[in-house]
Parts: sequence; structure tokens; C-alpha cells
Amino acid sequence: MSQIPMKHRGKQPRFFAAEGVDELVSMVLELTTEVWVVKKRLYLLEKVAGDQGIDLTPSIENYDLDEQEIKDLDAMRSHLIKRILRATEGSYSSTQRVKDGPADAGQNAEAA
Amino acid sequence: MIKNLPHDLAMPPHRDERTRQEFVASLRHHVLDGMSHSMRDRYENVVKPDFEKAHGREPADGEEVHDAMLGDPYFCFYSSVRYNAQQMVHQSVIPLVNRNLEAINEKAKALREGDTSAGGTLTLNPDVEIPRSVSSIDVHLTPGSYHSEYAEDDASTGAIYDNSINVFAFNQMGRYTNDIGMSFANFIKAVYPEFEPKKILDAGCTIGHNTVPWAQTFPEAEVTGIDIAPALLRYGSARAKSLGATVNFTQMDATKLDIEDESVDVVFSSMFLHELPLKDIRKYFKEAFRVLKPGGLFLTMELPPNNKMGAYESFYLDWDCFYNKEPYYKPFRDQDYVQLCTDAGFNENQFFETELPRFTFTPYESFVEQAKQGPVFDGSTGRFSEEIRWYGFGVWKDA
Repeated sequence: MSQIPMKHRGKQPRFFAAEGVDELVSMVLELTTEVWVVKKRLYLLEKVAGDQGIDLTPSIENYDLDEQEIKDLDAMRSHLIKRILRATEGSYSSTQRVKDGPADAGQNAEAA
Repeated sequence: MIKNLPHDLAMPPHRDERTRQEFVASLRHHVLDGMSHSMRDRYENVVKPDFEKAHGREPADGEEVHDAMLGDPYFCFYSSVRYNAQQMVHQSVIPLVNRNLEAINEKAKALREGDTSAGGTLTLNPDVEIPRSVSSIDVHLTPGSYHSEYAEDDASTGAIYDNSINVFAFNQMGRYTNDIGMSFANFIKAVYPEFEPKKILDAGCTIGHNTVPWAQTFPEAEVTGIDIAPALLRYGSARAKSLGATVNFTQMDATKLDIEDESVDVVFSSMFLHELPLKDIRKYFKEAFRVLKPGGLFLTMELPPNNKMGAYESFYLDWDCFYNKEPYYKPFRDQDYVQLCTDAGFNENQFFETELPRFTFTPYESFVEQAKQGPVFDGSTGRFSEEIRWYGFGVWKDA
């Protein structure tokens, strides 16, 4: 059994004269999708918690992430960025060399 | 709001996947029912006057409108967003299908082989060649096109198709995404009540979503859907059984029908011809003429021909030809449909055209009244939106 590919074969049409604008439109749309996904999930989370008598807001503000959680969030964020920047994959060959991001970059970022 | 598929092959997505699907459906709605109107305004107020100034006349046809629109920033944004939305439709369902591939294939097999009230056969023929027009192009930007198979007894391209149109249609094709089939089957039943077809063929049926309505509308008839893609047919057969409809699914090339002369009452297809090279369209028409009984009906739901549409409408509908990996779309729409029929042996005097409001959204009396009025050829003819009217043409074989 093999995996169904995510991208169609063949060239992507170019609509804008200026290089990169087509990719930017893709990024904005992917980004907006993910913003909406998160907004809806947060809405549900607060609703569900509220229904159970839990006011989440102060706990969220004061929560300390442990090291494993930081790592997990780093991976999730890398995945999100990869998804948002998927339009540049294949359009500019140099970006194909970009990997998921430095392993410890997120940790430093979280610590900062 | 995107709902689960209304049958046993539904694989509920994770909540975030469903949210993405809903976003993409809203995005398509925004492009096709919002940005499309702004683009029309832009054409009328800016692009067309500029063209008239430069040429001393209006654009003569869709091609001239297209050329004039190419550098326009609004056209670029419309096209870019629409192209991305089309890709995102597939990307919103493929992870779900990939994750459930084994379960979908098992369930489809169980439905095909299980005891259901519905009859119907599945006949696959590995000798059927996949035409280059399907195998070499990811039609509709669908990764893997229609014909790919990813496992033993695979039904996955059917699952991608079914889940994709559920998002693609943003609820404008009915709960069963079958409005085209419902509209055309009920048009024939209502407008030609004396016609009682015994054998009905749906060519290029994919997953049979528009084939099932023929079985439901004419329960006495033997209804067969044909396609060249086995995974679509495996899925379609299971889907029809789950819906309690008796439909045969057969792997067959519409340009080489393995069917006796003068044995079929209706040869129907929907949204099929515009995916075929012209030479295959001509072969299919000849085959349809051959297999139809005298007095039988060749019926086609399609996009309207360019020679009946205004220059802007032609340009608007032909967008898919240039940007949605449907290279045969415009060459088909540039044809004279009457000529295609007469070239295949049909009588010009038996030719008719129709424009139908969406059956599942329209009160029955109003549907019948509008169905009898004939085509209008305006901005709602074949333009996918909340106001769409389906275009079709038919020709009766001389009795």
C-alpha cells in the first residue's frame, strides 16, 4: 500500500508578473486556514471547559511549560510553518534543501 | 458547514480536518459567488473600456477577453485564490483518506459483497486501457488523477473524489452531491412522461453520484454506469449499495462500448465530454448512436457552447481549461454541438437544448415549468454558484 500524494503533477500556473507573489498568495491562504482552525478549537476549548465550571483564562496565563512540552510544541510549530510555506516547495529549488528547522531552535525561542 | 458523507463509506475527519474543509468550502464560495462578481465589474468598468479605446470595438470572444484580463491585478488575485482553493480541496481530504485507506477498502468490499436490498453488479476489465488524457494529467489538480490505485482492491480515488466534491460543492449540489443526475432524470420523466426507458447508460460515471438518481427515478430500468477507472467503480458500486440503489458498474471505455447495437434507451453523461480529446468525443457520439435503440435518447449535461454565450461568459467558463488541468475543456466548448450530433448520425431535427434549475433546491412545479422553457444562455448558465442552471443537450434517435 502506498501513500496518495498531496500535490498535483505538472506546472503550477503563474498569475502575477512579479516573482514570488503567487507563492505569497498560497502562504496567506494556508495561514488563514490554520488561524481559523486554531480560533475554532480555542472557542470550543473554552466553551467545553466553561460548561464544566472551569474558568481557563488565569490558568493559561500562569502555566509553565516543561521541557517535553516545549519540544512537542517546537515540532508542531515546524509542521505548521512547513504547511504554510508549502507553496515555495518546488517553485524555487533552493528551498528544497530547507529541512524542518534546527532541532533546538524552538527551545531557545520558548526560553526567550 | 460540511457534513459527513451520507452513506456507510463516510470516514469522519478529525475536528481540525473538518474545520479546514469548512474553511476551503467557504473560500470557494467567496471566490465563485463573491470575487467572480467583482471581477465582472472590473471587466465592465476598467478592462473592457481600455480594450475599446485601443481597438475601437468590444472584445469579440472569450479569447480576447482572456488576453485583455491577463495583466489585470484583480484577475490575478481571483485566479490565484481560485487555483489555491482547488488544490486545498484535495489537501483537505487526502490525509483523511490516507489514514483510513485500509478501512475504506475493507468497508467498500464488504458492501459490494454483502447482502443488501440493492442488486447491481461490478464488472472490472483489466484489458481496458487507461487513455493518456487521464493517465498523463492530474485532472482538476487531483493528485494521481482518476485512475491511480494504491492498494489491492483499491477504492481510494473514489474516496478522494467523494470527499472532495463534498467540499468542492460547498453544499450547492445537494446532500448527496447528486443534483445534476436528479435534475436530468427528473427533467426527462416530467417533460417526456410517455418515454419509459428500460436500459440506461451513464458514461464516465466516476463514483456514480449522478447515476444513482436514474435508478431512483426510473426504478424499472436497468441502470449501468461505465468508467475506465477501477478504483472509482469499486467505490461507486459500494456507495450505491449503501444507498440502496440498484446500479451496475462496468469498467468500459466510452469510445469503445462493449454493448450490442440498438440495445439501450438512454445514453447519458454529465460533466464528461469536456475532459475528452475531440477525437474521443466523436468516437463516443458514434458509439452512442450505434447502441441506442430507434427512438432512444442521447442526453448530455455539460457546459454551454461558446457560440451561444457572450464573450465574457465564454472567458469566465473557460478558466478551468487554462488553470485547472482540463486542456480539452475549451476545444470542446468551441464545438457546434448540433454538428457533433449530426456527424455521428443523429438527425438535426431531433436535437434540443435545456437549462434546468437545481432539482433538489427547487419546488417541483417550478422545476417542471422552468425545464419546459428552454435555454436562456446568461451569466447563470453553467456558472457554478448559488444561481446556477445546469445546461444540457439531447437528441432523439430516429424511430
